[in-house]
Amino acid sequence: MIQKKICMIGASAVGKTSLVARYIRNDFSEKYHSSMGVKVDKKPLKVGDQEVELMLWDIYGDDEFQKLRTSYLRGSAGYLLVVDGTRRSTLDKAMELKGTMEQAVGVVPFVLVLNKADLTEAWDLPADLETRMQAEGWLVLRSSAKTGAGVEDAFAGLASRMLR
Amino acid sequence: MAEPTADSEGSEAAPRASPAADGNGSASDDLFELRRLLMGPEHERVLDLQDRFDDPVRLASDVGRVLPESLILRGQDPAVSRALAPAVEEALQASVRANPQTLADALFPVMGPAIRKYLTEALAGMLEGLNRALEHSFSPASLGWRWEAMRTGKPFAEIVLLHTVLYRVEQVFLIHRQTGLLLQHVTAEDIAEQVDADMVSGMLTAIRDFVQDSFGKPGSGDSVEELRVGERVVWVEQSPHAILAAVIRGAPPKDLRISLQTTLEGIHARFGSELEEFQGDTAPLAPIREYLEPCLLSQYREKNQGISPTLAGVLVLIALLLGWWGFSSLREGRRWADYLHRLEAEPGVVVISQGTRWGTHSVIGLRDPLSRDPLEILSETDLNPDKVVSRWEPYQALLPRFIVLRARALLQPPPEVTLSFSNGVLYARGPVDAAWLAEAGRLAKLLPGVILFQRGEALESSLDRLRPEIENCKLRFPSNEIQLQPGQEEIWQRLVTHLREVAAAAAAAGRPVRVEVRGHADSSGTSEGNLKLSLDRATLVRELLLADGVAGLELEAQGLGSQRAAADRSSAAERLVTFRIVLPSTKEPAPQSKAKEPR
Repeated sequence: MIQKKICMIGASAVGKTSLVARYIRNDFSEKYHSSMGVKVDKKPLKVGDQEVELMLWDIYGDDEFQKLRTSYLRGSAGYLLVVDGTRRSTLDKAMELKGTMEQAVGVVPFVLVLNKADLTEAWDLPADLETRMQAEGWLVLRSSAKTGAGVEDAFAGLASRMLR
Repeated sequence: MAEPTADSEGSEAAPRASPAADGNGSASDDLFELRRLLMGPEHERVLDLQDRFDDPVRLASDVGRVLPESLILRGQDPAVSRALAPAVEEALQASVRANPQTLADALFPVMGPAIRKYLTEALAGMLEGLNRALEHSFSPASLGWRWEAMRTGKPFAEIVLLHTVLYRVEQVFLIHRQTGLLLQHVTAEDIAEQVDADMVSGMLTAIRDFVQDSFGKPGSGDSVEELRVGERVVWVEQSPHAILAAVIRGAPPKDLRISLQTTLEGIHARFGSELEEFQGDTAPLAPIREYLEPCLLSQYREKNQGISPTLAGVLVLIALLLGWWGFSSLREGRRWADYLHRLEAEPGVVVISQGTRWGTHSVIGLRDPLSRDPLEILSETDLNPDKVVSRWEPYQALLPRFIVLRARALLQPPPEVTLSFSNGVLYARGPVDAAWLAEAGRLAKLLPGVILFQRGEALESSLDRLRPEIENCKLRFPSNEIQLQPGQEEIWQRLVTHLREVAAAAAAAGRPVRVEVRGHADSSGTSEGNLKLSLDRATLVRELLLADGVAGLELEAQGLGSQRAAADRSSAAERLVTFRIVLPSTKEPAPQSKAKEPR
């Protein structure tokens, strides 16, 4: 059994915690989040024949109330970079956090998740964003924590990239 | 750079020349020659060294020379023992396979002590277990714990642990320091609560990071060493790549931290590179479990040496019960003996055998139907009648009283006739007609113990009645006088009356009765004088009795002097005349033996 630590990072209120909640059953109380800035969850999954256990470090969004603690990023084998598709500013924040991440753990696999895909009428990202990023070799996925669409794919995609 | 010797040596060194130089033979030879000239002896040494490494025999002998020293130098390093362990294990296995006897012989001297030690420890453990079980099942403390368990809803075992354990390592986590991933996790036996060790591992790492970031000095390497929650404490030890977290209940001693550190060091020494290169695959780290399990240490509260208070209490209780049992069986035994004594004293009852078994008494014996009922005697004792089994065989007792009772039943005498029995003779006294007398004389001989039937009062029974009266009579005399002391008229009168009755009974029986009139003197004066004085006194009394009409008896005056004084030691008491009645025809006229007869 392979274990991997992954981080959920992104600006605050992009839906990181909702994605995790969609993905797995939560055992630990939500209050860790506001007090410690992190909540750890576990999700076993299969990539091909390989069993993997993901330890999800859901890290509180970087905002004026709480700074992101880079020590939480240490040892990550990969990360989900979460963007709120209806707020363009969160994309900029994600790029900034990606830099922070690379500083802390180096270049590791990641998935860019464009969340709130159910709110397409309020979509606020450049139309060519996805094709541009994919051209750079990034894995870009749309997801909706509300409907559940794309959630599994995002985690599975990251897992297979980490095991590659 | 001298060249004259080059030709002679060149051909010998040629085989060692580089094959790359094939194309230009002379150039290569020259180069070799040049090298030889430049570094001649050193070159030889290099070749020798190379030979040393290439020749396995030489290499082995070289290494063998330094092997003991290097082992001594590295002896303290656990890595050496770990490296040697598999080889030694295999060597031992091979040796056992080849010839088990060799190893058995070698181990023989240590096996005995080892087994003894093991047995001693096992026994001590068992005793302690027993002690603790007793303590937990009977002691007042345990009742309190049970109540506490009921009240709090916690399992009883946990409450017991809470009160008896000094400390106990319940869980040990080994966590990868960089990723916070769980490497290995061990749990003590019977720890009911199960945690998700992976999650705990992650959160613990997050907490450590959080606390370290928040309160530690940046770059100082400060780290969380201890977390305390309720009755538990989490001790955290860290190494460059791993974190050891022990969840401990109670108050662990300082030494425990040292042993945790040692464990972590041991793990690092053995798995250092695996930890450093850890990519999430825990399989190669599975053997770490063996390192963690010894960390599940515990220590219980020291019991007072020796017997626990509860055990002592139980022993005292047993002693009290034994004491009570002993006391009551002793008391019961005494009651039984008392009953047997009463039975034996009872006329017409003979105990043949008796015994006590399991608290029940039994008695077998003979009983005259005319005797008192043994059950009535039993009811007068404190014995429980249900606990006494009796078997009485009927028999006829030859005691005078029973003979008289039987005679009365058989002969049916007129109411005014009295029957008495003495020395095999049944006497009938009172007004009787000749017909009854004849019939009675015939029937009486059928009664066991009756030899003869006579009309009249039995002399013996009269004597039995009168003898004490007469023999207790003491006539007193003044000092040195042959004259009755005044004031004894009443005694005299009674004496005369009793002697007349004896004379009448003797006459009725037609047998002679002798009365010894015995004179005594006090110890003053000569013995001869006293003898005469005492005889004179006896003679005087004899004369006076005859004068008062006591007839039909052989009155014999005796002078005993002062030698046989009465029991009373005062000199006044010795100036006496006393009496003794002798029935010559009876074999044993002694008054003592007679005393029991007339019941």
